[in-house]
Amino acid sequence: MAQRSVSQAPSEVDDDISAVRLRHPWRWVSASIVVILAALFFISAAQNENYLWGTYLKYLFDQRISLGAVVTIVITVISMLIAIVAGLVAAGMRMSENPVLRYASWLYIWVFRGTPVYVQLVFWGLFTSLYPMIGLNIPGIGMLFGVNIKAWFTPIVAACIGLGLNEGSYLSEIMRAGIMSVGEGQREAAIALGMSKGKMMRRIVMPQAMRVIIPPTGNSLIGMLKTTSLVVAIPVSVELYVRVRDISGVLYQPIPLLLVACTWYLAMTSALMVGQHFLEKHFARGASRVLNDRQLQQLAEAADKDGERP
Amino acid sequence: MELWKRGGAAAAIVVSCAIALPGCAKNTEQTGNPTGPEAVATKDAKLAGLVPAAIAKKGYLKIGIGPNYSPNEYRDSSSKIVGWDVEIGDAMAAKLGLKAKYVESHFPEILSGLGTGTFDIGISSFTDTKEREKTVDFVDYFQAGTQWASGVDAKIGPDNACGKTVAAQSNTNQLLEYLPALSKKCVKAGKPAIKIDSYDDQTQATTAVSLGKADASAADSPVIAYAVKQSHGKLQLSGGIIDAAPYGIPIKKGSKLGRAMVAAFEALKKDGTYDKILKRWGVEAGSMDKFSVNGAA
Repeated sequence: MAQRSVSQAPSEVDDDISAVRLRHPWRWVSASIVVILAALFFISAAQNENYLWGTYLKYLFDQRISLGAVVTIVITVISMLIAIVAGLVAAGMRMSENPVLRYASWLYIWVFRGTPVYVQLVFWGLFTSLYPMIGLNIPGIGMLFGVNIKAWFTPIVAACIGLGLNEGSYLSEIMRAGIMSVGEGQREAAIALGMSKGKMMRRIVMPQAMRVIIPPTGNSLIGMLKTTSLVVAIPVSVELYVRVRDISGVLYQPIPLLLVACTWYLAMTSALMVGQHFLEKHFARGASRVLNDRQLQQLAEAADKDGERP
Repeated sequence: MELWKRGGAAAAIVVSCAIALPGCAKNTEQTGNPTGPEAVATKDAKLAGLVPAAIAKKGYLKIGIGPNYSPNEYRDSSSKIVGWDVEIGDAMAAKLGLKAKYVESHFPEILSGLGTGTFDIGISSFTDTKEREKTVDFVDYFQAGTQWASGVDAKIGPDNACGKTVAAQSNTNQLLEYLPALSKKCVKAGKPAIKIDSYDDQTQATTAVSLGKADASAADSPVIAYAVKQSHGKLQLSGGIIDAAPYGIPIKKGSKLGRAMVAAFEALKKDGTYDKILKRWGVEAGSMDKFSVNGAA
C-alpha cells in the first residue's frame, strides 16, 4: 500500500492510480469457521456408530428401494398431471361468470386445502369400503350404469387421485394468480387485433401467465415428490418410504434406512430442480432487458456478419 | 425446441439413475428364522360345509394384515407378506377349503373394513380384549402376553417402571390399555406416573430404547423377543411373559364364520399342524389347547 501523508496536495499525486484490492479478513474468518464446523460434523457423523453406515451402504442400492423410487416418480408425475388438470378446471370455474361454478370451485378448494393431506389419504384408502359401487342411483328406479370400482381402485390409483386432488386445490390458486397478473392492456390489445377469446388466452395471456405460474408449480412438484411418502396412510406397499419402513421393521435398524430414503429423495428433488431451471429460462424469454447467453451469442454472430460486409 | 431436447436429456438421466445404475444389490435380511419345511394343511370336507355360503362360493378369505410386526407378520426380502401368523392363517383357510388372500392395511381400517365387507377376517396379531369385543367377534388362536425389554445398563421392567419413559407401538394393547393401567397403579401408590411414548411401529419404539431416549419398551412377547435378538446386544429382556391375553382373529359381529374357524383350529391342533407351525417359528410357548370365540378375560 502506498503511504501518503495527508498534507500532500492532490495535484502532486501520480496520475497512475495504484489500485489496492479491498481486503476482507472477516470473510476468511467466517468461511473457515463454516468449513471447520462442516468438517467436524461429517467426521462425527462418520464415527457415530448409531448411524450404522454399513447398513446404509448395503441398502442404498437395494433393488426394492430403487424400485420404490421409480414408483415414487410415477406417483408424483401422475398426481401432478391430475393436479394440473384439476387446478386449471378449478381456476377457470373460479373466474367464470356463472355463480354456481364459482361456488363449486370455492367449495372444492375450501375442502381440499383445508384438511390435512394425510387424513385425506386415509379416506381415499377407505374409499372402496365406503363406496363399493359407483353409478347413478336414482331413487325409485335403482342403480343405473353401476360400476364395481373395487377391481381397479387399487392403492396406487387411490394415492394418485388423493394427492392430485389435494395439490390441485393449491395449483388452482397459483394459476388464478398467474392469469390475473397479465395486464388488462394485453387483453384489450389482443381484442383490438381481432383475436378470438380462445386465441387470446393461448397466444397472449397464458405465455405471460406461465412466467408467474412456473416457479411456484415447480415448488409444488418438489413438494409432491416428498408428500408421496404419506401414501403409507393408504397403504401403498411398493412406494419408497413404505419399503424403507418394511425393511427397517425386519432389521430393527430404522436410522440407516431413513438415511437411505433421504438420499434418494434428495437425488430426485435435485433432478427436478435442474428441470425447473430450464423451464423457467424458457418462459422468461423477452421478460427481462438483460439478454441471456443465447441472445448475446446471436447478437454477436449478427455483428460478426455485419463486420464481414464490405 | 431446445428446451425439450434438454428436458429429454434430464429425464433420461433421472430414469437411468433410477433403473440402470443401481438396483443391482439384492439383500436378504436375517429374519425370524423359521426352521424346517412349512406345514401344509389339507381340506376337511365336513368343516368346509360350515363356511357361510357367500364365502364358500367365492373360494377365498380376504384377510386384512399390517405386515410391520416381525416375526408375526412382515415382508420378506422378496416383499412377500410372511410370518407365523400368516402360516396359521393359510393352514386355517386350507382346512376350510379356502384360499387366503392377504391385503395390507392398518389396525383401525381392518376393524372397520370387516363391517363394510372389505375384509372377511383380519390376521394381524390382534389382542382380544373385552373393549374390542364390543364391535367385532374374535376367534382366539394364540396365547400371547406382554413382555418388556430395556437397555443393558439398567433393567427396567413392570416392577420398577414408575417414573420411567416407556416406548410402545401406537394402537397396540400395551399402549392403549396395559401401560396406562400400570401408570395409574404407580400414581395410586404415590409414585410418579410412567411417561408413555407412542411410536409408529415397534422398530422405532425399540430404537428409542437402544438410543437411550426411552428406558424400556413393552410389546407382545414374540415381537419383543425378536427385537432383542435383532438389537445385537443393545437390549435385554426384563422379566417373563405377563398379563397373558389371547390373539384373536376379528370377524364381523355375529358371523357364522367364527364357528367354522374354531372347528378348523381344533382340527389343526388334532393333526399337529398348528403346533408344527408355532414350533417352526420358535413361538410354541403361546400354543393354545382350547379355541373359542371371544375368550378375553
